[in-house]
Formats: sequence, structure tokens, C-alpha cells
Amino acid sequence: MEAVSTPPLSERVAEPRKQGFLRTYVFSLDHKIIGIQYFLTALAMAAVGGFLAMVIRLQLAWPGEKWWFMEWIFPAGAEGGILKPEFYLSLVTMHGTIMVFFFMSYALLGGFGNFLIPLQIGARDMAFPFLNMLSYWIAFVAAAVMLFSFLVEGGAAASGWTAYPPLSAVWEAIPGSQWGQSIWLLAMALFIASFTMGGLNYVVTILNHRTKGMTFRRLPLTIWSLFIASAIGLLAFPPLLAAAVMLLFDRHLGSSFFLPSGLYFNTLLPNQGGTPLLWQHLFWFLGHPEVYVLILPALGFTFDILPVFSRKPIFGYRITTMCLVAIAALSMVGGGHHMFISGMNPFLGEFFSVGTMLITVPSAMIGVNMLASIWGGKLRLTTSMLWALGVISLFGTGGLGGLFLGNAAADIPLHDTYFVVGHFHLIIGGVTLFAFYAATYFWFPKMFGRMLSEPLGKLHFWTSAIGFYGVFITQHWLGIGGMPRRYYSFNTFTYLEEIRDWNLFVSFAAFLLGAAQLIFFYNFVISLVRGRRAEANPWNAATLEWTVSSPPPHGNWGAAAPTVERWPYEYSPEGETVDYLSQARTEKTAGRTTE
Amino acid sequence: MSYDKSVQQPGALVPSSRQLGMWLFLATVTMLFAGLASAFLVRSSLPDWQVFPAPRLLGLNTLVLLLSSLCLELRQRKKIALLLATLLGGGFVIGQITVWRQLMEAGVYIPSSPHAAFFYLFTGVHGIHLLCGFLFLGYLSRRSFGHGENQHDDELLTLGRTLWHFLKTLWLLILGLLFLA
Repeated sequence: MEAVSTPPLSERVAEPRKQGFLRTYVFSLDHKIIGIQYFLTALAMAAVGGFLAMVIRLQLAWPGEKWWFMEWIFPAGAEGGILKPEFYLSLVTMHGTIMVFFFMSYALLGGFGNFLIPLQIGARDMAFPFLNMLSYWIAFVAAAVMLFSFLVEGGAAASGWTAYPPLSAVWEAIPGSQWGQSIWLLAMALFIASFTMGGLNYVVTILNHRTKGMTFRRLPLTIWSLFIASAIGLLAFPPLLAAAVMLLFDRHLGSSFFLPSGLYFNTLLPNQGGTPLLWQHLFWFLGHPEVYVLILPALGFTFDILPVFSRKPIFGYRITTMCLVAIAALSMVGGGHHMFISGMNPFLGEFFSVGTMLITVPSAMIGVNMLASIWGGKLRLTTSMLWALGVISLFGTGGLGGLFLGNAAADIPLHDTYFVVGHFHLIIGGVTLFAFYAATYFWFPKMFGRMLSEPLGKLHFWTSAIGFYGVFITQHWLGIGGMPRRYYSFNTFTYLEEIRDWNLFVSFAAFLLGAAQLIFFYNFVISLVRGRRAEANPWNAATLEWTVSSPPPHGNWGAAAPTVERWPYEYSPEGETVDYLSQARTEKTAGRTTE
Repeated sequence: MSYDKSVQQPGALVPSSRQLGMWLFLATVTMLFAGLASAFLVRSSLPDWQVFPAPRLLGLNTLVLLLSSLCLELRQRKKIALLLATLLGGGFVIGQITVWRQLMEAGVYIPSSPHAAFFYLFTGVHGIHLLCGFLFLGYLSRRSFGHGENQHDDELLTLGRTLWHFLKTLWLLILGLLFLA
């Protein structure tokens, strides 16, 4: 270029300074590195959470059995090799907490959110790179603190991922309610601080740092979903922080926010005037939007992957964005459906029922849009596509269970049974997990510059899908049969005699599911080291991240940020001879000469 | 960094990313106090609710904070005004700690009553946020004495003023909730 005028501030790329290893890879300010850091942390936490699930299923298949290795792993919780009932509660608590917050949030929002947002909107980095780096390191400390709680006297928290008082508030109630619970609360406070920093960054970046031509109507649905999820996360998380502080006050400073009078543990406790229901309200004010904070990006990723492997545009882009907003808004007011059996006024129950049922409308529309998006398309069943199709399947089946639970009257016999466990695992374990894998197989080349093995990926998918459905559909039947959740064993209940042994089937399916993830870990590590090198656009996709090298350079775009001319789903465009049109006007646009 | 990180793009909706970030942060803090306030409102409606009389020092502290806010709005002698605002903010924090000590000497601790528990909770959480604001103002004050006025410093000062006015308003609301509701 002969132009001598100074390029605008946004385009100046200084000579890259030689930075040390710590500044480049550990305390990096580059959103891509931070995204990968979140991603790897999420994988590590997923391994821990998954391992806990295997121990849970071992216990439920053979209750009270002696395992030689159990005492070695959990010396306090499994003395003599037999799992203690109170330790079982620690297992389910930590499994839930780790999977929801420290795997899914970190992977979908921290990992893919950080990596993809600047790339897909044409920015060079996030609005606040230093804050971004800080958010990751606080997230890392939060995860470390949470894991540390296993090592303290009394062990990890044992009041469920929902941490209901008085179990969580009274020191003597259960071993996990000693230092383990306080550390859980501290870790959650750090997590919320980190999430707030990250969410703020995402919202500002998406609003203010989109490149030229990238209007809101041209944003990929990944970005729409991350934007909306971050927004509701910012509003919904703080009341849980308030509740956590109040619970710490009750535990350590003698207040009675959640503790009523008359509680007796060896002696009569001095508390009076508090109510456990207050905690429930504050927890679920976050708890319900939280699951939508997770599911919205999962759906967004799926919407970006489906058209690539059907070679046709998304059906109903505009209405999908409106549905995502509607789901987010309704989720903020539907959270009471977790408290139907708390003794609330039946009219209040009706209000929450109606709100919950209303969410099914935009959710169903999204499901239909996904199906219509692939209808009549030229499907290419890559591993990523298989996982994306799995998302559609699980969203439907998981959602069906929600119809029963959302109805206040029907929820009464189903609450706290395995019906709930089956339902939420299909949705939060299933849709988000399958979307996570779809996204991983899809964007791994961009992130790491190599391809994951397709044959191993397909094996991973099919074994996971079979295992997954085996576990969680069965649990719906167990729940209808009255099997309660969070129980250490069912051997003493005669009314469960006929269905008790189904736990054996569920456990074997769970072991299959667990083993399947080992295939992924192997694939992941091997491909990082020896995978086929990835080109810039191995999938012939139209969004902006595929117009640069794999992985993209520091600063993402080289000398000039891209200019966007069209929406992200111009596959098999009418009246054109090319297979697709990239969003950006670049010389490398497939089959399209620049004007 | 090898490139300017905060450059607004042509499609930017809001003039400044930093200001937008500040408003979003304040929305989050608002939700935190909304959670505490909703707990307060429910608890305070029960028959055993008793309010202890507001310590006199709280009135003086509030005045100090209002004066501090006023200083930030002065257009003349900006450097001195900023320094004064910072010092008064520090005075507020010291004043709050003094109120706590006075209450403890009078035998009012966290377990004494639900109202006392909420008092310590609200003033503590507000105090932590105000301390962070105080540190930010201190940083701005040091910068203002370090070099001349520039656009960047002006923007940071606007952020500081937004934060400080928010914390002042929040304090007034907390005071009203604790002793007037």
C-alpha cells in the first residue's frame, strides 16, 4: 500500500515486544489465550466432577459395598473402604457444584465466550483485556479453593449444590458443614466476582467493539446467545452473593438470617427469627437464570454449527433472537418452580407455573427452528454435526420432562425424585455437554491449529449418546416410581423393591458414559501433539473467525480489521455459483472476487 | 499491549466503553443490595422486629459523605477538590468503623437482634465498596497532582464521580431502610 497517512488508532499494530513466558502464556492479556486457559481449567474440573459421578454410581449400584481403593482416595469419607452416608452427600454436592459452575460456566462462557467473541465480531480483543486476565485468575483460585474443601476437617460441603440451611448453616449438622461449607461459600463468592468481571467485559465488547458493517442483525447466534446470557448472569448472580454473605454471617457471627428458633443439635441453638425459605428464594433467584446462562450459549453454538454441515442458512434467525431474549426474560421470573413444595400460596404457585409453561413456547420455537434449519439440507455428518444433532434430540426429550415439573400440582409427587435428576441432566448435562463437544470438535482447529481425529470423535459420540440416554431416561421412570434423590441407598425401602435393581443398569450405562469421555481425553491430547495441521477454514464456514489462520495471530486481523457485508449464514446462496459467501469482504472469500 | 484496546468502533452504541462498563458494574452492585434489601423487607415485617435508635455519629458521617460528593462537583480548583473529596471519603470510612465500635461498647453485636445483624451487614458491604471507591479516588488524586489535565484523566474522573455518587445515593437509601422504613 502506498498511502502514507497514519492508519487510524484502531489499526496500528506495534512491533511485537518480546515478552517472557509468564506474560505470553500465563498472565496473557490475549483473549485467545485466556479462553484456552478457561477451557483447560474446565476440562480439569470436568474430570473431577465426572470422577465423583462414577463414585456416586458405584455406591448406588452396590450400596454398602467395600471397595479397597475407596479408603485410599477418601480416607475420612470411606473408612474401611465403605462410603459413609454423610460423605455420599458431599459427593453429590460437589459433583453438582463442580459440573454446573466450574465445568459448564468456565467451558461455555469463559472458554468459548472469550475465544470467539472478539473473533466473531471483528474486534482485536475484549474491551478490557486486563480485567479479562484478572477474571480468569480469580476463576482459577475459585476452582482451587473449591477443590481444597475436600482436604479440610469434616470434608467438602454436604448440603447439596443448593446449600439449603439449616443443614448448611449449622456447624454440627453434618461433617461437611464444618469448614467445608464455609470454603464452598468463599469459592462461590470468588466465582461470582470472576463471572461478573467476565460478563461485563462480554457485554461491553459486543455493544461497542463490533467491526464496520457488523450490525446486530448480522451477529452470529453464538454472539447473540453469549450477549444475552452474560446480561442475565450479571443481574442474577449478585443476590446469591448476598445470600452467601448472610449464610457466612449465620455460620460464624451468630446472626439468624436463615435459622429459626427451636433448632436442636445436642443443645438448643440460640438462633431465632430466621427462615430457611429466605435462602431458597435468594438461591433460586440465581439458580434458575443460571441454567439459562448455560443453555443459551449451548443453543447459540448449535445454531452456528448446523448450517455449516447442512450447507443452508439458519431458519428463522430473527425470531430465534427474539426467542432467546424471551427465554432470558422469563427465566428471571420463573424461578419459583423450584419451590412448589415449600408451602407457598397456591396462587403464587400458579404464577410460577404459568411463567414456566410460557418458557416452553420460545423454547419449542427454537427447537423447531433447529429442525427447519437442517430440513432439506445436504447433511455432512462430521463429529461436530453429530453432537449438534444430539443437542436437538436432548433439548426435546429433556424439555418434555420440564412440562411435568413446571406444573405445580404434578410437581408435588415428582419433586426431589429421580424424575428431577433425569430431567435436569438431559438438559444441563445433556444439551450443554453435547453442545460443548459440538463446539470443541468444531473450533478445536481454530483454537489449536490442528484437527481432532474424526473416527475417535464418532466413537466418542455414539458411546456417549447411548450411555447418556441409558442413564437419564431410565431415571425418569425411577422418579415416577417414587425413588428419592440424594439418598445413599434404597435397600431399606420395601416400596422400591421392584425398581431398585434398575440402579444397576443405570450405573453400567453411567460407566459406559464415563469411559467414553476417556476416548475424548485421549483424542484431545494426541491431536494437540500429532493432529493434522488445520488450515484457516477446514469447514468452509462463513463467520469471521474462519477468515484468519488457525490459530489466529495476536491482534487477530493483521493490518486491517474486516468489514462485514452480510449475515453469517450465506450458505448455498441463491443466484450465486459459489457454495457459500463469507461475512467479510476479503480477498480470501471463497469463490467471490472482490468488487 | 501492541494495539489500542479500547477503541470504539463505528457501530458503537455508547460513546465510551469504560463508562458503559462502569454502569454495568453499578447495575450488578445494585442487584447485590437489592438481594440484601429484599431479605430485610421480608424479615422486618415479622412481629418480633425491633429497631435500635440510630447512633448520632451516623448523621455526621452522612454529612461528611455528602460534602465529599459535593467536592467532586466543583469546577474550580479541581485538584484540591479531588483531594478533599478523597480525604472526606476516608473520613467516612473511619467514622463508620467508629460507629461500629460505639455500638459494640453499648452491647449491640451481630447476634443482638435481626436489625443489628442487618445494620452490620449493610454497613459492612457498603463500606467495602466505598473503600474501593476511596482507593480509586486516591489514585485519581495522585495522578492529578502528577501531571497536567488531559482527556484520559478527565474520563477517569467522570468514572470516579459516577461511582462516588452511586455509593452516596446507596448510603442514603440504606440509612432510610434501616431507620425510617
